[in-house]
Amino acid sequence: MPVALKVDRVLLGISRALLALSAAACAGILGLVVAAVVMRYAVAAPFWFTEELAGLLLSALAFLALPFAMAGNANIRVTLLTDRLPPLGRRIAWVIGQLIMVAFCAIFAWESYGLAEFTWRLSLMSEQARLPLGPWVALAPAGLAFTGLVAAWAALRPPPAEKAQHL
Amino acid sequence: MVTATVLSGAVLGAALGLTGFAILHFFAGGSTRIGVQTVWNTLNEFTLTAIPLFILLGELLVASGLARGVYRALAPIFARLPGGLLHTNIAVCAVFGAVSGSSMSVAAAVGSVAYPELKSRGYDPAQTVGTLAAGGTLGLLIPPSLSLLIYGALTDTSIGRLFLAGLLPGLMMAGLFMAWILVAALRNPEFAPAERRVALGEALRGLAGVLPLIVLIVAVLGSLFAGLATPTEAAGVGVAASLLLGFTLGELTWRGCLAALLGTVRTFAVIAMVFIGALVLAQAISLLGLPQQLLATVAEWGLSRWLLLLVVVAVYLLLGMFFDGLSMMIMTLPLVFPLLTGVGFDAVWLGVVVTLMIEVGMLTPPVGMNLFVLVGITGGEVKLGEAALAALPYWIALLAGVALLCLFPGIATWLPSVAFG
Amino acid sequence: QNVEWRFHNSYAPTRIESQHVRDLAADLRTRTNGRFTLNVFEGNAMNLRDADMLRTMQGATPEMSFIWPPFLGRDDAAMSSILVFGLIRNAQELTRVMPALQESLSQGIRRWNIEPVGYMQLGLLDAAIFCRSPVRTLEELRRVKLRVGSREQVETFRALGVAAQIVPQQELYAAMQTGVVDCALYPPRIVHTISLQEVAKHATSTGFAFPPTPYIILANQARFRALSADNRAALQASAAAIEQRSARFEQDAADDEASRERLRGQGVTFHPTFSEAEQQAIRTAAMGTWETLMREAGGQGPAWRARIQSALGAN
Ligand code: NA
Ligand code: NA
Repeated sequence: MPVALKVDRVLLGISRALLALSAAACAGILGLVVAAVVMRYAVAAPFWFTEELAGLLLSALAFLALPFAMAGNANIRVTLLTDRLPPLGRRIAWVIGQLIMVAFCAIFAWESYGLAEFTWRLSLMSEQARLPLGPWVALAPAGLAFTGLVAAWAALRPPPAEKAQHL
Repeated sequence: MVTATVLSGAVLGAALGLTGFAILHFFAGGSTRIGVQTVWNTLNEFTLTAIPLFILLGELLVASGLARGVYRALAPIFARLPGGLLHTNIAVCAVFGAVSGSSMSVAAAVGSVAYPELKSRGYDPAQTVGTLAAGGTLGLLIPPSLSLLIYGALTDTSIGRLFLAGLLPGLMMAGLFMAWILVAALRNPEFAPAERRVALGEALRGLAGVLPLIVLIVAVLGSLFAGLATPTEAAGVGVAASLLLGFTLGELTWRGCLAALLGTVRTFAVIAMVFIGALVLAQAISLLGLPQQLLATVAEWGLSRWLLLLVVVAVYLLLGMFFDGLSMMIMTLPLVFPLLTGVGFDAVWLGVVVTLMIEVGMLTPPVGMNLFVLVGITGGEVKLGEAALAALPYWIALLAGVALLCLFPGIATWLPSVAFG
Repeated sequence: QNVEWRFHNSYAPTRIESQHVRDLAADLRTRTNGRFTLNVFEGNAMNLRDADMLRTMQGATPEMSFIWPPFLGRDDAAMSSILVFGLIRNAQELTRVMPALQESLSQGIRRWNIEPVGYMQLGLLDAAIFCRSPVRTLEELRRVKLRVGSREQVETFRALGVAAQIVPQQELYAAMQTGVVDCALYPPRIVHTISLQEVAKHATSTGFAFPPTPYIILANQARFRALSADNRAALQASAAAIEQRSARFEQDAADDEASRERLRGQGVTFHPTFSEAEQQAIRTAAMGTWETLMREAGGQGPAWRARIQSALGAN
C-alpha cells in the first residue's frame, strides 16, 4: 500500500517538525530560568515574566510533542488483557482503543478551542507580566486535533509491533 | 468504565480522560470544559517546569559520558553489596530529594541517568524501574517538600517543624528500600548482576570518576542553600552545570545536546499524555465531591482512634489509584485533618503520615505518577504493569513505614521537638 | 421549593472566611426551614482555581462560590485592580469608598452573566514587610530584595526604587530561608499560615492595608433566577447577614495588634511603622500605578477609578 505508507510518512514528518518546536520550547525554559537566576544575582531583580513565560512554554512543550508520542506509538497502554487475544480479537481491540483516543482528542480539542476562542475574543493577557495568551492557548486545540488525526489514521492501519519505536 | 477503557489497550491517558469527560458531562451538568481548563492551568505551572529540566539534566549526563564514568567508578565499591548498583538509585534519589520538592522530579532526574546506565550494565529493566520509582518518593519526605508545604499552609502547621519531621522518616524509608534490595538480592541472585570485584585500593583510586557528580550536586545544593535559586530554579542551575561539566570534563557535543533535548521532550510527551487524562479524571471526581463525601461518611461512624486511622489509610489507598498526589492532599485534608487531630493525633506527625500515603499513591496504578515518569523514560521497554509489580515491595515498605510511625511517633516528632522545643 | 446547592470555598477550614460561609449556610437553612441547603466544599475540595471563577460560575457546578476580585487579573483586569496597595490606610477611608466600590463590582460581575448575591468583607489587613534582618525605613528597603504578591505591588515598589519581585507563595518559605529574597510584604495576621515568622524575624508596618476589596459572593445566574422569590430573598438576606458580621473594620486594628503580640512571643521584632513622609511617598507611587493599571484595563476601569477616588477625597 504505497499510498498508506505515504500518509504514514507525512504524518510522521509533521509530528517530527512539531517535536523540534517542542524541543525549542524546552530550551527556552532552560534559558529563561538560568537567566532569571543570573539576573537576580547580578542586579537583584529577575525578569518579572519568567514564571509566567516558562509556564506557557511548558504547555507549548507538551501540546507540540503529543502528536509525536502518538505517531511513534510511544504512549503508555495497559495491554495485559489484549495481548492474550487471538489475532482477530487483537485487531478489534486495537480499533476500539484507537477510537477511545480519537474521542478523547476530539472532546479535548473542541473544549480547548472554546477556551482559545474566548481568550482571543477578549484579548486576554497573563496576570502579572501581561503576556498575550491567545497564541499559546491555541496550541492546545491544534495539538490535540492533530494527535486525534494521527490516532484515527492509525486505527485503519495494523497494530504496531509490541514495543514503541523510537523514531 | 475506567476498568473497561483502561483494559481495552487504549492509550492510558485517553482511557482515563474519556472517563473523566463522561463523568463531567453526565453527572456535573456538562462541565467538560472545567476538565480542559484544569489541564491548561496545570501545564502552565512554573513548578512543573522542573520535570522536563530534570529529565534533560539526566539526558545530558548520559550523552556526555559522565554518567557512565560515575557508575564505572561506583560499581567496584558496590560489588561487595548484594544488589549492587540498585542501592545507588536509592542513595542518589535521597540526595536529589534534598534539592527537589517533588517526587516526579526526583524520579525524572535520577531515572533518566540511571536507567540507561544500569540497563547497559545488565541490570533487569523492571527491577531498576522499581527502585527508581521508590527512590522518587523520597522527594516528598526529605525537605524541601511540596506536599509538606501545602499541608502546612492548609492546616496552619509550622513548615519548619514539618520539614524537620520529614527528614528522619525519609532516611528511614531509604534504609527500608535498601534493606529490601539486599534481601531480594540475597534470596535471588538474578535480582541484580554480580559486579566485577577488584582490590579495595584500586576501587578507591577509581572513585575520581564520581567527581563530576559531586561537583554537580554541590552546584545544585549550593545554589539552593546560598539563596541563589528557588527549588524550581535549582533544576535549571543543574542543567547549566551539567552542560558545563559535559563540555569540559565529558565528551558532550552540540549534536549530543540536541539529541538530549529531543529525547527529553519525547519522554515528557509520554508523561504529559497520561498526566492530562489523569487530571481530567481527577477533576471530575473532585468536582462531584466524592472524596469528601466518602470521608464525611467515615467521620459519622464514630470510630475509635486507631481504627479511624486505619480506615483513613484505606481511603487514601483507594483514592491513590485515581489521583496525582498533591490534588489528593488538597482534596482530603479539610476533612482528614480535623478528624484525626480531633482524636488526638499530632499535627506534625500526621503531615508525615499523609505524605507517606501520597507517596504510596504515586506507586499505585492505574494513576501512579512515578510509574508514568519511569515508563516514559524507558521508552516503553518496561510496561506499566511490570513497573507496578516491580514497585510493589517498595509500596509495601511505605505502608510498613506508616506502621513504624504509628509504633514510634518519635521518628517524626523528635527532631522538630529538639529544634523548636 | 426544595433546593440543594453546592458552594465552592477555596479557603482552608480554619480561615475566618470559611467560618462566615458555614454561618451563611446555617443561617439560610434556618430562614428556609431546611428547604434551601448549601453543601459547602471547603479547603478547595472541588479543586478549582480562583483565577477561573468567572468562567467556572457560568457552568452549573458549583452553583455558588465567592471570589476576591484581585485574583481575576487574567479575565477582568479592571475588577482586579479596583483598589491597589497604597490607597487605603484605615477604617474611615475604607468606609468612604465602600458604596462606590460595591456598585462598581456588582456592575462588573453582571457583565459576566453571574449574579452578585452579596459581599463579605476582607477587612483591613496590615501590610508589613517581614525581613531576615532589620529594615526600618524605605531607604533600607532599597538595599534589599523584596518579595511581593502581585504586579501592582511590583510597580509601586519599583517606582519607589525598591527591587521588588514576585516569588510564588509555595516557594516563599524556602526563598526567605535561603536568602533568595530578604523581605516579603505580608499581613502579620496570616503570616503563620506559611510559617514565615520562622525565617523572617524583623517586621515593619508600611502603614497601609492590603487592598481591602470585599469578596463577592457569586451564584450561577440561571440557577439564581430559577429560585422561588422566597428562596431568593432568603439567600440575599443570609448574604447580607454575613456582610454585617464580616464588617468589623474598627476591630481590625486591634486584631493586627494582637497578632503582632503573638508574633513577638515567637521572636519577631516589630520596628516602628514607616514615617508619615514615607507613607506619602508610597501613596503617590500607588496612585500612579492605579492610574496606569485602570487605563490599561480599559472598559469601565477609568470610570470606576474616578468614582472611587472622588469618594476617597482629595488627598
Ligand atoms: Na525534597
Ligand atoms: Na496513584
